[in-house]
Amino acid sequence: MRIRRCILVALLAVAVLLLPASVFAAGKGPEKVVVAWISFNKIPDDTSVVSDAINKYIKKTYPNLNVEVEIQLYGPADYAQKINLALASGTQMDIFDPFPLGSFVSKNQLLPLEKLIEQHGQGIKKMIEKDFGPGMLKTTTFNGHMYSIPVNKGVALNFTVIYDKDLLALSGYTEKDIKSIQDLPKIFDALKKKRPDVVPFAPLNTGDTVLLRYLSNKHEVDTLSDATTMAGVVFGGSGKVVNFYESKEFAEGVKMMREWYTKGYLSKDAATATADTPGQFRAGKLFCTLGGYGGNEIGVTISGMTGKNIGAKHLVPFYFDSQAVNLVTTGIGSTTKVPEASMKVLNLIYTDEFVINTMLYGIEGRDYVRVGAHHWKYPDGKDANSVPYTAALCTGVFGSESLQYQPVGMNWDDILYKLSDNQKTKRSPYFGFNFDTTDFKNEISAITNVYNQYLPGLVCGAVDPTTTIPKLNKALKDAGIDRIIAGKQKQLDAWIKSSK
Amino acid sequence: MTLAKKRTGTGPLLLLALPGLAYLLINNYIPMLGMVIAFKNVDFAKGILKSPWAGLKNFEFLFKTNDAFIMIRNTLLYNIVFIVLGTVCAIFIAVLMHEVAKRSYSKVMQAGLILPNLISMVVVSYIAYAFLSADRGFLNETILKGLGKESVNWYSESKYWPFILVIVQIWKTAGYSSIIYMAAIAGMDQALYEAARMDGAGKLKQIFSITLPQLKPTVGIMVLFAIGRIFSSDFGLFYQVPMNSGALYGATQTIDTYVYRALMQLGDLGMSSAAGVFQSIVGFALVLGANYLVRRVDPDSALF
Repeated sequence: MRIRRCILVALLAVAVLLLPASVFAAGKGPEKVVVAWISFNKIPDDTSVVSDAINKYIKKTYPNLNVEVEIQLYGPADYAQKINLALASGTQMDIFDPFPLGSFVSKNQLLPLEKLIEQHGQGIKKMIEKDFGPGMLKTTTFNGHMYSIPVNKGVALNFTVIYDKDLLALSGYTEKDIKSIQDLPKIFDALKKKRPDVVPFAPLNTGDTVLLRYLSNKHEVDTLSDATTMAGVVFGGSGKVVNFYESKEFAEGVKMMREWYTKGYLSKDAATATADTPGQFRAGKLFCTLGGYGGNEIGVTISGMTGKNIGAKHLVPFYFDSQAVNLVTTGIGSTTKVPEASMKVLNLIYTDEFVINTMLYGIEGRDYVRVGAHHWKYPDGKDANSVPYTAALCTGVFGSESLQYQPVGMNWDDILYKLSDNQKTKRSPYFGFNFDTTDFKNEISAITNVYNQYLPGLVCGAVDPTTTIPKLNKALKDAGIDRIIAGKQKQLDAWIKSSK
Repeated sequence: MTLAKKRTGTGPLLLLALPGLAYLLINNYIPMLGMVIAFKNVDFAKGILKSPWAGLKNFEFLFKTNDAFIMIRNTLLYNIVFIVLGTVCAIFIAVLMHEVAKRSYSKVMQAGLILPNLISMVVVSYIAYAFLSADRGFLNETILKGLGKESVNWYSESKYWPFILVIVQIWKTAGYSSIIYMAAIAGMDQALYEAARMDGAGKLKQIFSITLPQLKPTVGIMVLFAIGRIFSSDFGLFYQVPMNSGALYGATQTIDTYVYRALMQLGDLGMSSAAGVFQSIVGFALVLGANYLVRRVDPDSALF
């Protein structure tokens, strides 16, 4: 008898669990939108307090909107997996960061937004027009459909040298002596004489000296949706798709790195050793690194991280092609049941100061306190790990930077500088073109492998370019780069024709 | 009558097996339906089952370039070496351990032998790095310098890696896989050894004439298990230990690392499933084939 009752209870429990969620949501209440962010901070145990605060605010400030949000935060290690899993299994997942955008588009994981944005996203359009200038939304448009919205921030990452100011002084040179990348070797030599234990230069990322970025900025190369492997690019406004790795610009670049390497400016392990430039700066064992940075405050930021006196100087201005702008974007999932509500929420995320800052920094008073109009800090005695909620490291991942509070000590003018840089930076004539990769998956996967095999050694100077470049190009040909170049040329020609 | 008897005979046994069978069904068989993804062009808006069929298109990337030859060759050859050398080393260790008379001593030894197996490959890769680093590695700075030889840039010279990988793999797994052989040896009939001693057989004679022949069925089963996984490779060993160094791909690229590297950027479900399906099907065929061969040579050692 008792057993039978147990079974009955168990069955009931299962039945309740299986009831479609819609039964409960049948009322006229607000539509729930799930928003999933990537967070580089500690993932909070409970995000519902923050969701509730935002929902209360939305209800009060926009009574006609009839939406509410559920914020989810995932770490960088499992973010992509969580999103893919939710989309594949049909769990509600409405707003997220699709990366890489092209692959999300080709798998049809994103909802076309061009109609929705006209109805419910006018705020986004205005905001982006103000902060970036016209044309930003073209970079996320594939075959006439706009699939996501780029994060509205300073996206110009100028090619910058980051260096230890004290070591520079020791070498006998000053900041004025660094005008281009060619000025660095003489400083390296002087420094090596004084401090042989210091490594003059280390790659910012493992096996990546950012040489390709330097070359593409300097020679105004549009990578045509492939900033990583750069298979098939256009130089300037030539309109002709070519193999970047057969260019003399590439050959000269790797020759320079080879010189650096043989002269001992890089460590012998540079191509494989895990990069840790902040750690090396902190230990006082590194003179400089190169990378792309926005604004002018990066030296201050790294000084704060390392406790050293770090300086930064732009060497080459950035060059806008589509992928430079559409790298970090926010989109709506194609499986969403609430497309209109999602667009309304997305509009708030780009335009509402309270919503953005609450998502970033949590509850005012509990997780952060405001300082002046544009700044914030942790409450007294608290830090990033002891407040219940913070996503403070995610300022570059969503919304509009010009509405985000900055940490105390950060110069607000830098934000304005970054936004003006957005307008100033030169754009590729093919800005807005996106390469449709659907028919080229085999070639792309093969080329990615070739890239991983040869490029780290070449850009770090660890292998001899005179013998390796021909090998690289042969491998690229085997992998099908010619087919990609032809495909890109065809799509580019069509794009040029249609955009005239 | 006989029918009823039969039912009562097997019914309780079936009931006993039920949890295990259910586990197999849920954990091993139902997921096999996922194989369908390998033949689909997955469209998330339509769901997996309604996505358009892709035929064998997802498999193409595995065979398109010369990499296909390199990775299949590497995967197969490394695994064959691992199986042969691994088995020999494991049996060697087991036989030696069996001869260790002092119990307390053998317990400590066993723990020590198993320890490498418990270390994560990421940690192992840094132990290897401590030996192989170009600037500060033990081999370059101590041994080669001591011998007055040129230092070697280990992470860009692929010719050394077949040896390095085999050494690392054997070091890591031999102790652990010797356990099963130790158990087999411990279970052998001691009367045989006594009889051999009476007849004046020495230790070596005992090992070669009694221990090893009796190990044959165990070896057969273990090798068959290993052959089933011959198209898979330990990702950590081939990706982490060489520090993902591009210059070493000729010697370190296996099917798993190729698939990982090729699809990290694309993130294509269909293509990665295709790789998995390919590995499983070939592995399955190899197990059947190997078992068939074993059965012809020695029916007692065959798995089925």
